[in-house]
Amino acid sequence: MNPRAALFRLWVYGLAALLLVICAFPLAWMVLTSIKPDREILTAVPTFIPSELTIDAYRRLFTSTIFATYFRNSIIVAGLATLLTVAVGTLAAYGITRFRFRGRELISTTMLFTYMFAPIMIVVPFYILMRQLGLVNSLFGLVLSYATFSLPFSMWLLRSFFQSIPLDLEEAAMTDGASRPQAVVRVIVPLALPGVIAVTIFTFIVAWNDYLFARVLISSDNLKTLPVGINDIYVSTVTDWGMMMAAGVVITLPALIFFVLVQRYLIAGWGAGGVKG
Amino acid sequence: MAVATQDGSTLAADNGEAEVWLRGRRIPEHWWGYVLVAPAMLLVLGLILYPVIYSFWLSVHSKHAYLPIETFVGLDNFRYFLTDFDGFWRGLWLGTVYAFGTVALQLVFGVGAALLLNQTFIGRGFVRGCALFPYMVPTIVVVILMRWILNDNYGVLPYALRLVGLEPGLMLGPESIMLSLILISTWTYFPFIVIGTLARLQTIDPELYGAAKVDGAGPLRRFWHITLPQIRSVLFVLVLLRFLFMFTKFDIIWLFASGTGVGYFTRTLPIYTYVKTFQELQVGMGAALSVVIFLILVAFALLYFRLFKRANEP
Amino acid sequence: MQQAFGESRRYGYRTLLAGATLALLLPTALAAQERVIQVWHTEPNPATKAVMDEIIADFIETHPDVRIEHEAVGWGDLDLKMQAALAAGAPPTLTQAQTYVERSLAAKGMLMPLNDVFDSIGRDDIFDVINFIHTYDDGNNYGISHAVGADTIIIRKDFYREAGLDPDTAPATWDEWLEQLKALTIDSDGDGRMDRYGLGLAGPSFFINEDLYMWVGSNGGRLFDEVGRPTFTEPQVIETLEFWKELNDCCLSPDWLSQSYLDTFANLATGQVASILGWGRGTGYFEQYAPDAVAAGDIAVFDSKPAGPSGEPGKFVTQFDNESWIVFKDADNADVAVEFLEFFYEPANYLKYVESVPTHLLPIRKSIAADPAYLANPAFEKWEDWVQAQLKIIAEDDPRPLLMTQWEDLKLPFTAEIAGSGILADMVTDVVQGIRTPMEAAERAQGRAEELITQLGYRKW
Repeated sequence: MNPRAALFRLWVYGLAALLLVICAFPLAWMVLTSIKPDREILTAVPTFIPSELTIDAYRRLFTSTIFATYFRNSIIVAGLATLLTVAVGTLAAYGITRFRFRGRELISTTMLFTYMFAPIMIVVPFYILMRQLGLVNSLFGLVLSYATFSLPFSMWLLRSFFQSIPLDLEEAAMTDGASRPQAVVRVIVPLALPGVIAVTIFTFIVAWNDYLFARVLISSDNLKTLPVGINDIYVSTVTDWGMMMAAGVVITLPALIFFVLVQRYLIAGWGAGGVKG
Repeated sequence: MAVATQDGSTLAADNGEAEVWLRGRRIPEHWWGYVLVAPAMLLVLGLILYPVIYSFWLSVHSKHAYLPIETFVGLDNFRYFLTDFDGFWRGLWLGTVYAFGTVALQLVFGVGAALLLNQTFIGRGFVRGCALFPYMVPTIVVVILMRWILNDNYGVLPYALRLVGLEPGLMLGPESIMLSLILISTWTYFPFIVIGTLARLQTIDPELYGAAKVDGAGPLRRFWHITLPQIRSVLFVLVLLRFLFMFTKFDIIWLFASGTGVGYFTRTLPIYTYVKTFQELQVGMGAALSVVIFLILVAFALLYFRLFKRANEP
Repeated sequence: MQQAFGESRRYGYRTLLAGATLALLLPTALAAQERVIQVWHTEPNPATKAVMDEIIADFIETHPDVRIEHEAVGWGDLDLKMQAALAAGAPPTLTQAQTYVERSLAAKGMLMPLNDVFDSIGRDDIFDVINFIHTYDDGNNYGISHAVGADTIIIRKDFYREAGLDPDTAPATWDEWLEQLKALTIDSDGDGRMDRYGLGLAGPSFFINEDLYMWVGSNGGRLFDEVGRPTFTEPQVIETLEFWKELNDCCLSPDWLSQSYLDTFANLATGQVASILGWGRGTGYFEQYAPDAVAAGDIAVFDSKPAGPSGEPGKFVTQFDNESWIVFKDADNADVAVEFLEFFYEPANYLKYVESVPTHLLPIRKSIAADPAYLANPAFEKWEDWVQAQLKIIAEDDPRPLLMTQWEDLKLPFTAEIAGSGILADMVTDVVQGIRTPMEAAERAQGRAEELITQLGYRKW
């Protein structure tokens, strides 16, 4: 390997390490704090190597709070919102790309316009509307909200995806004797899968992270989602740092693992969609 | 060219779009189109249109949060903000600084990281996963974690910086809070750009690079003349979206800074809207503010498209 | 799975529609048979939440047709939720609220009288000051405090002793206090950075409001005049701002504005500050993070506060924590909420409630306060001085609710909006950050406050 290439390699590994540290260090610190004994948490000189490891914070998290309930609620809401967005969004994207009808170009504009309204502006009338639909204080109301916010971007993404898949493929399948739905499933879906996964992840994050709408729409303790539940634990009497960090770990680690496994599909999905503008 | 299929529907493939025949009768395309799009439009228009119209209507009224009485005041609310230097104009300035600052950084780090992650090296998959991690953490966890790390007394970052002789000052104090906010927002959201850019990078034909190298082009020129034109269209959309999202951001600013006394130094327009609506209890003014935010973003989008239209062509 | 995916798209849509219809109809069907009330309470700590859950469960046992949706909401989010609920024309049935919110809502005729609750407890069994605060001009009660407490100066005796000060003598004037705090602000390792500050203050505007009105009151001053006009430019207020600036420059941590209320407790526990202002809730915190200091009896409170130059030593204003339960008149089944409150204050239940955080939630019922079972609570043994200090202040020193330097301020209908607007907090920030002089900051705040009050339609001058 010539010296120039070797230097380049060095840079690559060095920068990769730096990136890793910047992104993963806070996570590592969070994990570390969650297993430190209490008295070593609030010290002027940070303790990098705890004198002992303890999972007491995790025990407290699951026994003295209803964290597990919040977790369950978040999973349900995020999961359903994702399914709804994918279902509705794919239908719409397919319709837009395969059929001509008036107003279909409006989709992109809709997307942009939707995101120009600050959520804080929408939250109160949204609550009023939900109230009239009888959907306040229900997980389903949240599901609808998240799906609605994620749809514009998701439709745009899926549309660009479908546009890049030539119609000939469907046709070929149909001439081979498949019905239209079968053609779509056998041909389109596998090609569009990365896009679908991308939409899944985007919607999931929208639903997983939201604080504002969950706070306003939910008024029962046992229906709270994670962001609201954690915030409440945080502001309650005793700020238990160890427990807060433990909560953070429990929330992020599964998602992180899932991400590492799925990242290659994800990237393929977002990218191809973005190309077509 | 019509192609018959089993269930009686057929396709015509002349323009990349489908024609559907069912039981011998041609179903108009637009009918299918509308049907498929209907659920999505129903949700989006139904759940968003009403709140938006309500906000516009409310913005020309005066309403106290506790009372169901609205008084028409015409453009008074808007006129108030025109001369509201401490609240509105300052909020606009802070919001602009915040949005531009963090989007610029997100762009630089996002593209940089994407370029890096496009190289092959051992452990690339793991590093990619970790690089996307910040985006997946719920905002409240990010805030708690970052306030913990940046804390002047117990935080590990000021401690580390002091160890190497740098004095960061109070990272959560009045002077630095906006900068700290910009930095942690960058950390949280740059993966959004990484994902989009990296994906596009992976579809660039490596032969282009090969040819350039043969011609003696160094990495910088390769980036400028090959990579950049290819990713320009992706970046066009990503940057626009990021700007919209960051300008209207509420959660992270509120949780990170506004809960404490330094909120004064991070009172962007969405935060100011919250204060006006939920704390000063003047709902009509809050609605007027949101209308103004919307108009500002429309103006921005128009300007953006005009300036960068050519970037949008692949 | 992939096969099913495509096909299920169409079928899935149908089931979704069915599910949505069902979801919409079901609540309505159920609601027809039950009486539902919403209860919001603002004690999110696990112990109190558990007690509330118990009390609610017990109530439902004896009232099988009632369903209670209850939630613990932090103070910061209460505004958001309440507004959304009010805007939708569906306020919560029962919630806790600050005194000035209660006053604001009552002035608009939105609250249900709670005379029955007071009667069921027995008015002589309720401390006088509570009766006084919640009795309005029309003779009705529109709120009832869930518990009480008083704000005190919390100190580390060991640091006081180290600085050569007597930890048992409370400062009588601001000058004395400043002397103490300067002595307590030390640079122990000579690196040019202070390692301990005399006083820790909380930065959020809610707490700046608190500290401001307490100090103005202790300086013999006021924030509003007889017709409700702000009086921020009066000398007593200016003196307070000057005092605050001096405090900021000598004895407060430079980033105190970014510290939360709980951060100040952390700082006291770890020795970053020698004293803070706070409520009895902190005992649990100290037990967890500063067990040694607690064991040595080094965490104590002063049972008085210093007076300013225009005030009188011995006469001080401190905050009376008496957040109230309120019932919205127009909520469905408001009468059920009233019944619930009567149940809540029954001795067995109320005792459980106040015992969930014994040093912070002091009872409003005299009988409970004197009950040997209550007094035998182990927390009182450990923290007797703290509780006694609060009780003494409540009984003798006339503490007042948030933002009310004088009892006349109870009648003002706009205190909630002024508090929420951040005008007062901005005034203080202007001064301590050196952006404006005290007079300039006060004049600016005065102008903004007058404008706000005018916009709200309450201007009377």
